[in-house]
Amino acid sequence: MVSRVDVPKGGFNFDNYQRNLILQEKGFSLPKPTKTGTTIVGTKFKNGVVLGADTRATGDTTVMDKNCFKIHYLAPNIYGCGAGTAADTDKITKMVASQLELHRLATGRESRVATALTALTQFLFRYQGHLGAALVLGGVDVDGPHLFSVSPHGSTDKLPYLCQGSGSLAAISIFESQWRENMERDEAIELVKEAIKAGIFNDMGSGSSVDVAVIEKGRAEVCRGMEVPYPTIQKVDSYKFKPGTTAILSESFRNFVTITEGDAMDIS
Amino acid sequence: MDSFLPVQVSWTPQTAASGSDFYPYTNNAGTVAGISGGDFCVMAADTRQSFGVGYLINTRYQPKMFKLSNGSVLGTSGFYADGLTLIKRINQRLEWYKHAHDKEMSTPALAQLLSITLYSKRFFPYYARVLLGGLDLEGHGVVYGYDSIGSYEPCLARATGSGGSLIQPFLDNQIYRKTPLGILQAPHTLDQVKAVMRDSFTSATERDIQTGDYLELFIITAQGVDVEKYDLRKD
Amino acid sequence: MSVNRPLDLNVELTIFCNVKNNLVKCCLEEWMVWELHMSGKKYETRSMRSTTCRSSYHIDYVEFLRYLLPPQNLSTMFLTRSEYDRGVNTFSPEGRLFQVEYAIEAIKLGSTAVGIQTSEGVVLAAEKRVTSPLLVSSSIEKIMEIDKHLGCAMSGLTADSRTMIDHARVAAQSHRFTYDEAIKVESVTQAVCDLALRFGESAEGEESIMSRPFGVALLIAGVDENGPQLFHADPSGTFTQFDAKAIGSGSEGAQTELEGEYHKSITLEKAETLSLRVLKQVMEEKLNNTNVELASVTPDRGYRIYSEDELQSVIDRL
Repeated sequence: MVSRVDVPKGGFNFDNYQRNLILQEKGFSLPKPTKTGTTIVGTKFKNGVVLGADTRATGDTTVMDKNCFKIHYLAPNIYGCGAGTAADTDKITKMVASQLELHRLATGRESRVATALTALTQFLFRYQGHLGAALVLGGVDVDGPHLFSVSPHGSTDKLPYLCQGSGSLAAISIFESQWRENMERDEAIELVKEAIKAGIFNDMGSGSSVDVAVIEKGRAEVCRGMEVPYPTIQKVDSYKFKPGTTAILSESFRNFVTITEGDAMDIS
Repeated sequence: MDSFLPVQVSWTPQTAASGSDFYPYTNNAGTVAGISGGDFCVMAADTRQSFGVGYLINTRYQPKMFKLSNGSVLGTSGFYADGLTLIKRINQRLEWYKHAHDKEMSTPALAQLLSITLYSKRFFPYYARVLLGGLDLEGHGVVYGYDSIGSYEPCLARATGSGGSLIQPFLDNQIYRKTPLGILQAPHTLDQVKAVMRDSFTSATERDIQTGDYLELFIITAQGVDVEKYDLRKD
Repeated sequence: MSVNRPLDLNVELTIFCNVKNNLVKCCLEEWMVWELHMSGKKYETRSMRSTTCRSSYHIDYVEFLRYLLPPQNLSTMFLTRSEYDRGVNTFSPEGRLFQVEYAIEAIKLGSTAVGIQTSEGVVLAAEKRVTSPLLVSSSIEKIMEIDKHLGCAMSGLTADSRTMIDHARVAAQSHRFTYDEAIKVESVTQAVCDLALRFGESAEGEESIMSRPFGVALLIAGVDENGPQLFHADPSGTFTQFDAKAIGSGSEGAQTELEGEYHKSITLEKAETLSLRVLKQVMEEKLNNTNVELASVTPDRGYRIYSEDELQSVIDRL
């Protein structure tokens, strides 16, 4: 017998597409994917870019993850914040990250932000908006700091400060009123934190804490939980049940091993 | 030029948005819970009011529990405007009852009145999930849980609204305390019930985006209704 | 004696008279029953001494009444009568609604009913006029149930009481449906009295349901959170609470008797016998277990009408 290993060809599997359409017509709705109803922002400053994100993931009105990580690694000098369908942002950034890695190995050069942007937009455009991924892409390469946003259909924006996600309106209000050109690193971080906090407090889809990534020439720093704007409220009482709370209705013992002769094993 | 001449465009009302597009409800969500004790009843609700599923917060402090003239407390969640209208109607009925029968309506009587008031709008319901808390004729705490068209039952502990499904199992565990051997614990004290309520809402706020900001506790005893306010997460 | 307008009442009347215990009962045209107390000596000369005489008189109606009634009663009853007793909702210049007053008079023609409230419950008793040996006495119903905790005795035009009791029953059930509790005795009485004045022309947009006032008075007995209570409702829509009350033709004598016999600590058992004793005194026929009805409303058993056997055992205690 010849054994053969099936190597997956990659890409999406559409086997159940027709079936699911029929099911939907008959009233069986598809399970809802987790949406990172999100606040993500990015801004340029004097020497680089700062990206920020909240850490709440929601499914409908339920918080699915209180501390999810929305700043995705693309290359050592490039990061992308993801908003929209969590699975799409996760997988797309991961795919592009591996493409960039392969590209660096092949060329021996640092990845460019434009390369990441092109890979993302081409991929998203091919799927005509069915991949619910909105991204804020930032990085520093040979041409200096870059900041882009990518929409689920594949369109892009290039701006000095950007917001995406359900909390983008709250966040942009901070940038619109306080952003300046050529900010210092600390100023830019502070502004990003304020923008994310605006999203956390005023948008129900955003919450928990602020994650920040700072990318400068030759240096990228990701700070998980840079600010926790609202401390966890401590419980008044403890609700641990005492051992033995669960009633024992009956007990029975059975010996699996019967020692018939000899001394017990020496375990000293 | 000809194009400047006024052109008579025929217009029929059908070109306006048709009636079927009209959706008269908004979900302002929020959570309400009630626990009854031997001689008290604790009603609790968060104070966040949000707008539908648009992730918008209308206000962080809009109480959704109302002390009624007969000393019981009515909590509403869902469509706030319907809740308010319901409260207004119930308060008016309480006043009428007082004049007609020369006494305050008891909480069990109010429970029935509330039920038929909800059912009177069976086919265009009040989009309100309500809980009624108070003391019964013997002075024992009582909580009545409803659906939006008037089905109701008295219960020991009940949670409803957007965080209701998160809190109810916790109350089942902590208040009903049912085990194969029966009820585990002696009846709860007021302090225990208050702690369970506060912790229920702190936890619900962690996981339900429409619950939060502040917690209000209405403590109903024979002496009257006390109100306490606590912080909840605001994100 | 002046008469405001000529009374063309020189009609032929059949008069049934029954003279007993200084009480003259005259039936005019069979359904109009006048009951008069013969206390003054001057009436005793009336030649109706025989227990039941039936004769035809061609008499002047006013002359007849003048003979029977003390002068002041006659003047207040009839001599100021004018156009104002026609419309049911027209006041006379003296501020009276004659039709309502006449309706109250109609009750004085009815069979006697008695109610006594005690701390244990309320007793209702009513006389049944068994006018013929062929009449099935159980078909006369003078005491009826309004709700589990409410009973009602009536006197007057008992047909009118159907409407009132139906209304009371609806009010009681509606209250149970709305509030999941028993209606108060006072509230159900109020509901009945609300109905009492809904006669005459209707207000705008409102259906008129009756053309005249009710000709019936009710004794409503019940138990609620305020304990056992007895209310009296009359055709004017007025209601009053009583410890003990008699209505109907024998009410005057019966009320006097009740006022003498009633005391706050009376037991339910004593109230049962008192109510029958009072009825016995004012009834023409000899009281037995078929010509009276007895019912009680108690906190434990609610409204309960006594069977003939139970009734007999109370009669035996008399």
